Amino acid sequence: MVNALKRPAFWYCLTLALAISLGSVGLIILIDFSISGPESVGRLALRPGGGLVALALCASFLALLLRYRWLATGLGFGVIALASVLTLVPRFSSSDWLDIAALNPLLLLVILLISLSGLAAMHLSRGWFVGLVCGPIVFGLGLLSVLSHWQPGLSAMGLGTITESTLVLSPLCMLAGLILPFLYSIYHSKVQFYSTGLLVLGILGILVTTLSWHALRLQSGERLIERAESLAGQLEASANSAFDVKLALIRRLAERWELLDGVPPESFWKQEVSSYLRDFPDLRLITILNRQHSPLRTESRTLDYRGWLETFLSDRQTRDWLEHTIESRTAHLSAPLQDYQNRYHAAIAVPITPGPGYSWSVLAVVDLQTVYENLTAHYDGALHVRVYHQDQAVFDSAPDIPPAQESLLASPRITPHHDSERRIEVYTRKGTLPSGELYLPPVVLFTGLGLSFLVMLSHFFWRQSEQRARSLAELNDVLNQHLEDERDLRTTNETLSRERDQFFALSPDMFCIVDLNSHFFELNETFVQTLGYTRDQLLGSSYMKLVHAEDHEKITQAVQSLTEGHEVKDLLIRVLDSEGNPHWLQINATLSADDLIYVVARDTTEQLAIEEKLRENETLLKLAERLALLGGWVVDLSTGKSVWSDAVCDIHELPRGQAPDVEDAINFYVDEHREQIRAAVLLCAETGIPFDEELQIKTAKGNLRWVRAIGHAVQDDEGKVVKLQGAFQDITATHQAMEQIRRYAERQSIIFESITDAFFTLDADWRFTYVNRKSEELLHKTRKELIGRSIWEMFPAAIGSEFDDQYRHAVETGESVSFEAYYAPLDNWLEVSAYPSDEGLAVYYRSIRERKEAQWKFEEAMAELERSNRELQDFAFVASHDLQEPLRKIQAFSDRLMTKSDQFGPSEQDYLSRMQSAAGRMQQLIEDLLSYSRVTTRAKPMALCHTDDVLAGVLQDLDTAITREQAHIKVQPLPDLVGDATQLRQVFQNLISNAIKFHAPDTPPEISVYAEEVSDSGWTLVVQDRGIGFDPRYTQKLFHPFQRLHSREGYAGTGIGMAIVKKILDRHSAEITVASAPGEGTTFRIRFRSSPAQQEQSKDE
Amino acid sequence: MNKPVEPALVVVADDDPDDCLLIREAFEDQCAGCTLCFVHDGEELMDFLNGQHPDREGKSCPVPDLLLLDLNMPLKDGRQSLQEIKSDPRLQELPTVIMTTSNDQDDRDFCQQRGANDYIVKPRKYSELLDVVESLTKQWINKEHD
Repeated sequence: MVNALKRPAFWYCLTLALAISLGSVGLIILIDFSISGPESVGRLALRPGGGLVALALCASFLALLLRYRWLATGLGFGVIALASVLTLVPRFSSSDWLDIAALNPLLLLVILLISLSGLAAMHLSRGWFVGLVCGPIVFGLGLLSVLSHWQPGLSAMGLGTITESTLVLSPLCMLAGLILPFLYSIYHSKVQFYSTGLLVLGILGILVTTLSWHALRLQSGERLIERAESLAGQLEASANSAFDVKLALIRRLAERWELLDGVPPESFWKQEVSSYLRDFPDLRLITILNRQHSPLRTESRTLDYRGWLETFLSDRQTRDWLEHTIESRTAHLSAPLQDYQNRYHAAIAVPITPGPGYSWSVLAVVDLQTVYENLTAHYDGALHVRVYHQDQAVFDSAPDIPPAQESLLASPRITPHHDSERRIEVYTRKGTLPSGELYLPPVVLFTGLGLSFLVMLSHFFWRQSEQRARSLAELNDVLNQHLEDERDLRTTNETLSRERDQFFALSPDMFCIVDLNSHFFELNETFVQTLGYTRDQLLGSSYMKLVHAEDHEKITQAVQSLTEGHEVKDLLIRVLDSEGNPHWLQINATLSADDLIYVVARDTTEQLAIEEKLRENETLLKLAERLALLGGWVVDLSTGKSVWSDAVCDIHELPRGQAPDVEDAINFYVDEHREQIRAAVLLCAETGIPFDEELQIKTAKGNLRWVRAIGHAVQDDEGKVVKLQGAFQDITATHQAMEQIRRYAERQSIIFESITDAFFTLDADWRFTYVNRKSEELLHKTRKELIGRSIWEMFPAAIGSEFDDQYRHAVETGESVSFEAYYAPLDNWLEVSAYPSDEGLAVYYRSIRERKEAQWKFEEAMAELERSNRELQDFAFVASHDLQEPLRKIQAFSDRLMTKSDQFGPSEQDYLSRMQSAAGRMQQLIEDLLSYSRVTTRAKPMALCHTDDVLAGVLQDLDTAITREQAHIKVQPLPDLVGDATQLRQVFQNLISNAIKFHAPDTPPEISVYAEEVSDSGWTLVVQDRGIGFDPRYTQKLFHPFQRLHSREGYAGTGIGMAIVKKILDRHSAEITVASAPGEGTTFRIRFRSSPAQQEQSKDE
Repeated sequence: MNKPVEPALVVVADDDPDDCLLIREAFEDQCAGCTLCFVHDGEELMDFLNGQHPDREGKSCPVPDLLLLDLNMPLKDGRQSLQEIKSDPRLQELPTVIMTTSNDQDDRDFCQQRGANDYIVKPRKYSELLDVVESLTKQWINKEHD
C-alpha cells in the first residue's frame, strides 16, 4: 500500500507545489506591480501579464487536483484565452498597458501545452498520452530557456521578457514538464490525496518562500540604490578633491610668478611648466594670459590644445568668466568645452598680479575625461556613472548603453563652487542586475519551493501513516472485540458442548441426531452399543436401512409431522441391529432450527421382554415348584422353628403348611445319609459354611426319594449365624436319569469295545482319551500306554503324513474327513473316518490291507487284459492288412490265368473260378475284420453330431439300393447326440442297409426311423422294418462277428455288420436291443444316454 | 495310337517282385513302346533319378516321363522319396503317381499335400491293372501326341 502510494503521492505533492508557487508568484507580481507601477528603482519589474497567467494556471491546477472537473476545464480554457490575448493583441495594437502585460510567444506555447495536457488528462481516455508528449517538450523549452541566459546563441529561446522573469519562469516550466505525464494518473487515481492540511501547509510554505523571494528582491534593489548613492558620493568627494588640488596647484604656480614681477624668463617658464605637465597627466596646457586675455607664454602637451585654447578664449562667455575670475581674485574652474575629438576639457584660471597694475591670469587646461576615468577606474563594474558639468555630460563610464536602456539609480547634484555646477548620475542597464542581486532571489525561491514540496510530501506521508495507524488501531480494537467475543463464545460453546457430550455419552437412552435427508449426523455410545453397529458404519448413512420395513411408513409420517412443527412422542418402531434382530424403540424427536432432528430413543425390547418374562416367570415358578418339586425352607436357630414351602412339604409327602423341627427333618433321611446331613447342617450353623448335598430320604408315606438339600447361613451384624435357609429339591427323576446315562455309557463302552472297527478319541491337545480294544490290536499298543499321551508322541511317523493333514483339517474346519492311508511303521493300510467335536476328535478306522491287495491284483489283471486286448486288436489289424497282400497276388495271378483260360479244359476252368470265388470271400472277410478292428483303431473324438444330417447322408449313399429295391423309408426328426460322426454314420448305414436287404422277395422294404423316450437323460433311436425278421433265440448271435442268421445264397454279407454296430454303440455307451420274429420284421432300439455336460446344455436350452 | 519317336521312360519304384512282374506285363500289353525301369527302394530311386544308378552309369540322365511310386518300401520309403522329388526343382515336374496297397485316407491326404499327381490303389485284378496302365499312358505319356 505504501509503495503503491509513493509515486502518485510524490507527483501529487509536486503538482500542488507547482500550482501554489505559480499562484503566489503571480500574486506577488501583481501586488508589486500595483504598488510600484511598471518601473521600480533598483529592481526588475516583472510583467503583470505573466502574473495574471500564473494565477489563472494556479487556479486551474488546483481545480484539477481537487477534481473540480468542469471548473478546471473552464480555467484551462481561460488560461489559453488569456495567454493568447496577452501574446497576440500587443502585436497588433500598441498601448503602454498592453506592452507591459505582453507575453513572450514561446511562453504562450508552453502555456498552451500545459493547459492541453491538463484538459486531456481530465477528458480523454488516453489523456496520459498527451501528457507524455507535451511533458518532454515543455521541459525542453524550459531547459533551453535557462541555458539562454548564459548562451548568447540561445537568447531567442528565453521565455521571459526580461532576464529575471526568464530565470523564474524557466525552472517552473521544467517542473511543469516533469509533471505533465503524470497528470492523468494523478487525476484518475482512486486515492484521495487532498487534505486541507496539505494545502494550507503548501500555501504557507510557498507563500513564505515567495515573500522571502520578493523581500530579497526589494532588499537587493534598496542595496543597489544605496551602493549607487555611495558611489556618487565617493565620486563627488574625489572629484572635488581632485579639482581643489588642481586649483591649489595652479594658484601656487601663479603666486610664484607674481613674486617674479612680470613675465618669467622663457627658460624658467619652460622648465617650470614642463615639470607640471609631466607630473600631472590630466593637465594639458598651461598659459599666462595678460589683461587682454591673450596668452603671453603658452606651454602645452601637444599643439592641439593651443587650438582648443584659442577657441576657448574667443568665446564670449569664457572671457566674462575670466573677467570674473580676475575680479574675484580666486581660482575658478571653467565650463567644459569639447575639443575636436569630442573630449571635454575645462580650464582652471588663477588671477595673478606680477606687478602693480598688471592683472594677468594663469590658465591650465584640464582633461575632464581623464580626471573622471582616473577617479572611477576602480569602481563597481555593474554600476555605470555619468558626470555632468553645467549640464554637459562630460563623462560616461558606459557610453555604449543607449539612454533608453539605462535605469537611473542615484543622481545627487553637486555645487562645489558658485560658478561651476556638476551633477553625477549612477545607472545600470535596464532589465539586468548585478549577478548577486540577479541569482540570489530565484535560488532562494526554488530552494524554498523544494523545501515546501518536501514538507508537503512528508506531511502527506505523515498523514497517511497517521491514518493507517488510526485504522490499524480501529482494526485492532475490532479484532480485540472479536477475539473477546470469540473467547466468550468458545467458553460458552465448550461448556455447552462438554455438557452436551457428557449428556450424550452418559445418557442411558439412545440418542441420535439425523438430518432431513434421513442420514445420521451424530449418535451416542448407547445407540451404537444397543444396535451393535460401529459409529463409522452409521454416521452419514441412512437410518431407513435400520428401520424395519413395516415401520418405514411410520417414520415418513413422523418426519412429515416434524417438518410441520409438531413433536414426535413415544413413537414405537422396530429397528434392526447388526445381527438383524428387531429392537422395539420408543422414540421422541424434535426438529431443531438448523434442520436437524434430535431423536431420543429407548430400547424397550428388553423391557417388553422382561415384562413378558416376569409374567411367564411367575407362572413358571409356580409351575416349576410343582413340576420340579423345588421348594425353600428357613430355620430360625434362636427358636429352632422352621418354615417349609409347600413344595418341600410335598416332597416329604407331608400335608402342606407343616414344618417339622430340624431333628425331625434330619430323620427323614435314610440311615446311611443321616449323619452326613446332620454334620453339614451343624457345620453350617456354627461356621456359616454352606452345604449342597444329594441324599436320599424316606418320605412320610415311606417312599424313597433322592433330594438335593442346599443350605446357607444368614448372619446378623456381628457375624453370628441366626438363620439357615435353603432350597430343597426332589431329584429322584434326575438321579434316575443319571443312572440311565451311566448305564448308557457303559453300554456304549461295550459297544465301542465290541465293534469291529477300531476307535479312539483325542482331546483338544491330541491326547488319547479313549481307545477300544480293536485299536489296541491294530496299533500294537495297550490302552494304558496310550491314554493321556499325545498321538504325535506315540506315533511320530504320522507327523507330516496324510494322517496329520487330515486330522488337522478336520479339527480346523470342523468337517469330518474320510481317507485311506498307509502307515509304514505298522505296515498297514487304514481306512479312516475322523469326526471333530468340541471335545476333540473321534476316529474310526479299520485295516484295509486285504482289500488293497485284492484291488492291486484286480488292477494288475485289468492292465493285463487291456494289454492283451490291445495286442489282439493290433494283431487283427496287422494280420488282416498283411493277409491282403498275398491274397491280392493270388487274385491277380488267377485273374491273369483266367485270361489264358482258353488253354484249359472245362474242369480246370471250374477249379480256377472256385479258387477265385474263395479268394474273393477271403478278401471280404479280411476287409470286414479290418473294419471291425478299425472301430477302435480309427476311433475319433466324440463331438456333437446332428443326427438328422448323418442320417440324410446315409440315405443319399444308399440311394441306389433304395431305388433298386423300391424301399419306402419314413424318417422323423431326431435329436442331436454326442458321438463319433463317422461311426454313427456306419451304424445307420448298417442298420438301414440290413433293413433294405432283408425283405421278403415279393414285398418292397418299408422302414421307419424315429426317436422314442426323448428326455434330458437321453433318447432311443428306433429302426423298424417289416422284413423277414428272425427267431429271437438268435438275438445274441446277431451281434457276434461273422454270425449269419440267413443263408448266403439269399442274402449277401459276411455277418460282420451288426457286430460292428454293437462295437460302435458300446463305445458310445449306448445299448442296443432287438425285437424280431420271423416274417414280422425287426425293430432295433438304441438307447443313447446324454453325458452330464450334454444334460446341462439341454437344460439351458 | 501314335508312338513317340523316343521311347518314353517309366520308372517303377516297388519292392514287391510280383507287382513288378504284373506291371511289366501290363505295360507290355498296353504300351509296348515304353522303356520300363524298376528300382526297389527309395535310395535306389533317388540314385537313379540323380544319374548314379548302375544301370544308367555313363548315360545321360533324362528325367523320366512317369514315376510309379510305392509307399511302403525298405530303406527309404515312398513318402520320403515323394517329398524329396517334389522339393527338387529339377524333379518337381516329374509326374509321380502313387501306386500302393494302402487305401488309407491319411496316406491319400499326405500324398496329395506333397504334390503327388495321382493316387492309385493296386488293383486286385489283372484286367483292372490293364485299365490303370492304359489311363496312365493316355494321361502322362501320349498326351503330347494326342
